[in-house]
Amino acid sequence: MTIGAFNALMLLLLALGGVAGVSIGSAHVAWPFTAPSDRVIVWLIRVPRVLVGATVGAGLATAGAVMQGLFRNPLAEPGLLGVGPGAVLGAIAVFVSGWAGHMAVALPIGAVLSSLLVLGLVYAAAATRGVVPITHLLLIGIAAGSLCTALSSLLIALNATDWQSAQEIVFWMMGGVDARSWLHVWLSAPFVVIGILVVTWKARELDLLATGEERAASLGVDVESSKWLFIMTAALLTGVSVAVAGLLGFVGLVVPNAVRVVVGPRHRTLCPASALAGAAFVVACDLVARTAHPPIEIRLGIVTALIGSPVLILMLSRRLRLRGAR
Amino acid sequence: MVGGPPWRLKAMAPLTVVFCALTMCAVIVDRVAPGAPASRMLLHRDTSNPFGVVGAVEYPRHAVGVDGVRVNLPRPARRIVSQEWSLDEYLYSLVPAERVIGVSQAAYDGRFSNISDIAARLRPTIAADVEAVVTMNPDLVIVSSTARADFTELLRTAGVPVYRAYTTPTSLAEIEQQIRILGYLVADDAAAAAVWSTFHEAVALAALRRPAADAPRVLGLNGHFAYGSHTVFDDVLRVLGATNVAAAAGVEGYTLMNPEEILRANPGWIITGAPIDTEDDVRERLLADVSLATTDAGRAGRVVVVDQRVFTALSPFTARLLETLGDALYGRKS
Repeated sequence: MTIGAFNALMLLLLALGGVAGVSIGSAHVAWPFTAPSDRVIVWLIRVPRVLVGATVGAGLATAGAVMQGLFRNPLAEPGLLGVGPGAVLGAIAVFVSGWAGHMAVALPIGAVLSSLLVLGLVYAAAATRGVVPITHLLLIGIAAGSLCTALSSLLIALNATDWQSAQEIVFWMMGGVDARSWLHVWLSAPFVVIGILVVTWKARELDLLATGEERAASLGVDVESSKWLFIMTAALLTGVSVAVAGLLGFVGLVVPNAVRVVVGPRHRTLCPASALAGAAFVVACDLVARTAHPPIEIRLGIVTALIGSPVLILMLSRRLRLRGAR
Repeated sequence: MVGGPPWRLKAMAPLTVVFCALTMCAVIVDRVAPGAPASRMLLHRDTSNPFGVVGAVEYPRHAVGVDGVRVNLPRPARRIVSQEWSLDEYLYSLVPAERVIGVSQAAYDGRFSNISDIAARLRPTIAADVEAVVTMNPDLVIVSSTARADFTELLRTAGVPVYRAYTTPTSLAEIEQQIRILGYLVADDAAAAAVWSTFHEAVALAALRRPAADAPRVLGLNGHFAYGSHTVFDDVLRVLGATNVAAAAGVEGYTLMNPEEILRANPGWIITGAPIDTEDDVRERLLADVSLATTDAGRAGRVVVVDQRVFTALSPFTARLLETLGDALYGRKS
């Protein structure tokens, strides 16, 4: 399959998912949505929901592609630098402080700020005389992620006395795009679009970094600046995605790997194709989440993990078989 | 390798930019959210009086929720939706059942809900998501104080009147207050007064039941969680003249209590909840726990397993807990 055909297919799937996402839901709405309640359901509830799903999917998949290129490891994923757990920690702090119940915007802003703060600390701790070795970044990122996860668990445990709030936190952590409004679209979409444009624009540098830092430097890449740009972009994409949708496992890990099989490793084509595939994947998963067990929605993070995990296992076993055959 | 700019600049600059951008976006979107009714912009926020009921006795009625947002009811609410299990119980106590058109999922769970039989009979819609609520075309939605703001704000943006009620009471007086507020908002005055009066009388009657000798030393357990001070259970024990050993040991709220603390507190009674028909299993399981079995309560077999719906009720149904515990501690009333 050519790259153009793949992108066209993903666009088609995304469009179909979008139409289905707008048309199908717990309430029956009839085209052309002339009834006032239909208009409210479509324009204020379903369209933002589909857009947030697409945005989050695109953001996480692009962040995954960047991280896998930067770390030269197909198992790298957006949460590796502690950004995902950092966002979760910020969100939980907002929950336990009570702000989540008062301001819809508090949750995403708390999550994004916290994720960027964690990234800043990781970057600072990994830096040695202006240079940030990728292995340091990785190890400190994993440690920071574990620390954030532990602090999140501590906050939940200390606040489990209010079980209603604890339930809200646990549900949020399972990921989902229910009850998302235009506010969440505007909070996430501009950053995701800018992030995708930046990594596509700088894709050649990412290609060179993927071959090794010394080689990239010898070919004229300002390694530290490029690394910083890509890490910040991946962090921003991950932070805003987690901020508006909670934790969605496997999107950043599975989608870029699957797309790479079709479009190849060049990031100029891989990143936009991953974004499209990620968007289509999350919109489709959300459709499953809200229609599989009515009237109760399954959390989106559960669906992405249920689909993503077997795909990852298949991909890994296939890779191991191919390696064994050589 | 080529050195980059100082890391501090690298790390902090994006933080500032992103914060400013997000805040600006949020402010802009909040002002121009599509479909936001103009009335929403005019709502009075009175955070100094979060429970305050304001307005005249006749309609229109209005009340300020715990989020400081005032809800206006131009006429009696006929299509009411509840989004939380204790609010389901308030509503079914206060208004004719057919007026409650949407309930929480828990309303159908006979293990925990005191109104599950009514829900099973009338089959109100489960208010699981915003779409379901909007489709019901309610004239009032009552949500929990712990509900996420995005759910509430989306409903308000869709033009649905939403009242955010306080659902984590820590005393019987707060339940009485909630009966008054919700009664004012949704019920006929006489019906609301009757519910309040019944509850108030149950509290007053329970207060008359005093121990013959020393106050019973009681530990309230739900799983491994104990009810300390600032809980409704603690207030129930206070009214009944019993001592809450968890509160006496310094436990605050509803929290884990470790076995050593329980042993040191040495309760004479252990009260817990269990779904109907599982009481014996729960009692056996509790007595199999060494730390509980070696307390005075464990040795004397004074482990009272209450119907879970009664034990965890935070609504007018809490009156049943007063009576049940009074009977357990002091013997059934003649």
